[in-house]
Amino acid sequence: MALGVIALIIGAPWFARHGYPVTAAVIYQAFSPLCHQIPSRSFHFDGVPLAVCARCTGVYFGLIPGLMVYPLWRRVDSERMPHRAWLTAGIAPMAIDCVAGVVGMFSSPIAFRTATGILAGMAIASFILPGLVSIALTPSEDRRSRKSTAEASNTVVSG
Amino acid sequence: MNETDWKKPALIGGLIVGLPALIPFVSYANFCLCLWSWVGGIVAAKMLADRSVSKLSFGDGAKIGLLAGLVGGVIYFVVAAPLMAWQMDKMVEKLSATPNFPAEWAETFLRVQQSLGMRVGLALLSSLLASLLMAGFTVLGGMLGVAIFEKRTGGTVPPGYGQGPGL
Repeated sequence: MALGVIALIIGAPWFARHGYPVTAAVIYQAFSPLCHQIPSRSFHFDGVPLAVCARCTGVYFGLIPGLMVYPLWRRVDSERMPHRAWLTAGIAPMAIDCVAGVVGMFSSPIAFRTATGILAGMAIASFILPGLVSIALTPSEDRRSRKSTAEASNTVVSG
Repeated sequence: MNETDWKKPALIGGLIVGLPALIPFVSYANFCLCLWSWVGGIVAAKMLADRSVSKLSFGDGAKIGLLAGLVGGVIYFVVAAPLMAWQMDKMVEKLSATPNFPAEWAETFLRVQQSLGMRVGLALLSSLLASLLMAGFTVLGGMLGVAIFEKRTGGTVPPGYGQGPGL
């Protein structure tokens, strides 16, 4: 999903420059509920803004290094999510920067926005991966077993 | 899936995903990485964890997130698509004002504005893609909700549980 979203983000200006205006318009409009898309706060590809702002671009792109460095600090097959403090630490700088900008305390440069977005993306990746591992490693027999055990419990309770 | 009712958590979560995204100013929270979708997924997972007899897995979180995301996506799509078609002029103005947008697009956008079919088609495709993106974030929210709120360590309720006088 991350690669698909990144492809769309970069694809929008590419389509804009290569003769597919309606396709580009669809992508820009699709991301408009999810991002302010202010051109001065966005990266540009071939002179045309990406489909999302620099902060959002950082988040989506940050998922990739997040997944790459994950094995350096945790077992890949671990189904346990990291402590919530890591997620908070990863997202807090972006949240503070965002809120500060909204209330008018300060307007951070594009590099800072991107960096906080990348950090948040890496933190999110570290929480997504254990969940995906759990889903992948739970054999279908175990899922059926859990279901039939739950049915038996319901029978005992209601019987 | 266990035998717990999944409908209510999916519905409540879906309402949180879809409705705020349509309300002006309230929808701006979605600029923060689709926040309403995360909240909807987390709430759906919390409701399911409270109702479930057995311990939820991350797969259950992903499923309830997907269900809530689909509900929210449908709600958003049904309302946003016609609104988008109706406000296509504003969208075209915004895109035309984008720096370095190719000048030859003026003719294309004029055709979009003048053609009902193109307006509706563009609105439908954009709304559908936005709904799918929201649903994707809701899946992640569901998984995160399980991680936060599912604290049980065992598997299922032991036999004989609940056979007492009850409340």
